[in-house]
Amino acid sequence: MGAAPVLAHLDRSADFVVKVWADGAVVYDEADGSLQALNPVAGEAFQRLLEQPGLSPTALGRLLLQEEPDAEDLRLVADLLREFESLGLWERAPA
Amino acid sequence: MTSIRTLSQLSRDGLKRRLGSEGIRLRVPPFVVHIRSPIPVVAQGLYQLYGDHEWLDDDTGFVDFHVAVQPRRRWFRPLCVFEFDGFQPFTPLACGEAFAFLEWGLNWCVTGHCHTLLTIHSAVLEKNGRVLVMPAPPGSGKSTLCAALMLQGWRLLSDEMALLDPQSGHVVPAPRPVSLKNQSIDVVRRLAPDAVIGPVARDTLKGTVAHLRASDDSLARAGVSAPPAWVVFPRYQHAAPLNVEPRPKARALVELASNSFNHHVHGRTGFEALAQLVDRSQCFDLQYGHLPEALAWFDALEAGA
Repeated sequence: MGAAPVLAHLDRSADFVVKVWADGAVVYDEADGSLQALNPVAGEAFQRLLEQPGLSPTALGRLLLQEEPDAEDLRLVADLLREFESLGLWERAPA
Repeated sequence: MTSIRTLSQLSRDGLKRRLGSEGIRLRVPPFVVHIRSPIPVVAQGLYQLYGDHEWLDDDTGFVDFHVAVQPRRRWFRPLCVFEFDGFQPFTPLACGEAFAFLEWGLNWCVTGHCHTLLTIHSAVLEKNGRVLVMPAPPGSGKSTLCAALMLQGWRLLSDEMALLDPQSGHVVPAPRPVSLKNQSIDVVRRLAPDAVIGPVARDTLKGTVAHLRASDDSLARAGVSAPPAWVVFPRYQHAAPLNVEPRPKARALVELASNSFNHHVHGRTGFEALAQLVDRSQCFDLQYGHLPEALAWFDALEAGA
């Protein structure tokens, strides 16, 4: 299993507004006016990250699952974070 | 009680004369428009379709849009141009399209310049205080549905754009004639033989185009905004059975935003207003191939069935 990404404080968190429904979510980026549709779990995860920037993947997994995440859960959380990164919703902290 | 003057108080010749000289000031809710044109079909269209709109016989009041449709050349394929404050934003069209050009130009004036409200490309109707928003691309049967619903007693707020007040979340009425294209003109004629349909423009980029007069009730209550209750994305498919699917709210919001002309101008407030619209509405995808079937579904939806 690869190392989970290190979460950084999201400097641009003030730019985002997220709207979450049971069937999906939409993130608005005020910096460029773009919208991103997310599936329900991604929407929930992104909202948690906005509320608590700097969450570790384990802590994020714990919040989403309401129980201790196992290795597979952590891999899925890492996938989500990579997806956020590819969408420009999330940036890793410089090393 | 003060009665308002309407355009129908002018004779057809009087309207034509005024349009060709100083122009007329017309309340086209929620706007006031000053219109000039010496082209007969423009006078004909206004006379047939805007007779119950308030005519402001006072040249001192505020006007939102000064527009004109002017002849460009008289002979060999006569053309006309649309003017906004003397500026010509579009290439000329055939003179036979002059009234349709006025309608399209007015749409452009609103979507390009009215930024106190969020504008969404959509048909909008209301019944019993609840608003139906129908965003859809051309060819989806949106205007046909809109016309048929209006003829069936729904109040027309607009067949072209939802004007959403970002503060109240209510939709502001802008009732104007419903734009009908190609086969939908005959569909509406069959549905309501007495309905008033204005000048027919043929061979336009959109095919044959004509406009249906807004209902009396729609004009009488043009000052009454209402909250949204349904967002329906219609799609006409020839002879297809009715098929309705709930649309996920997130997808509805993204689609609404892509149909909005100016949510970006409003920034975060615009996004939140669109999200609120979706939040308070039931959202559906509607495929239909038979108009009566679709109309019955809308009635059942409104009745809460």
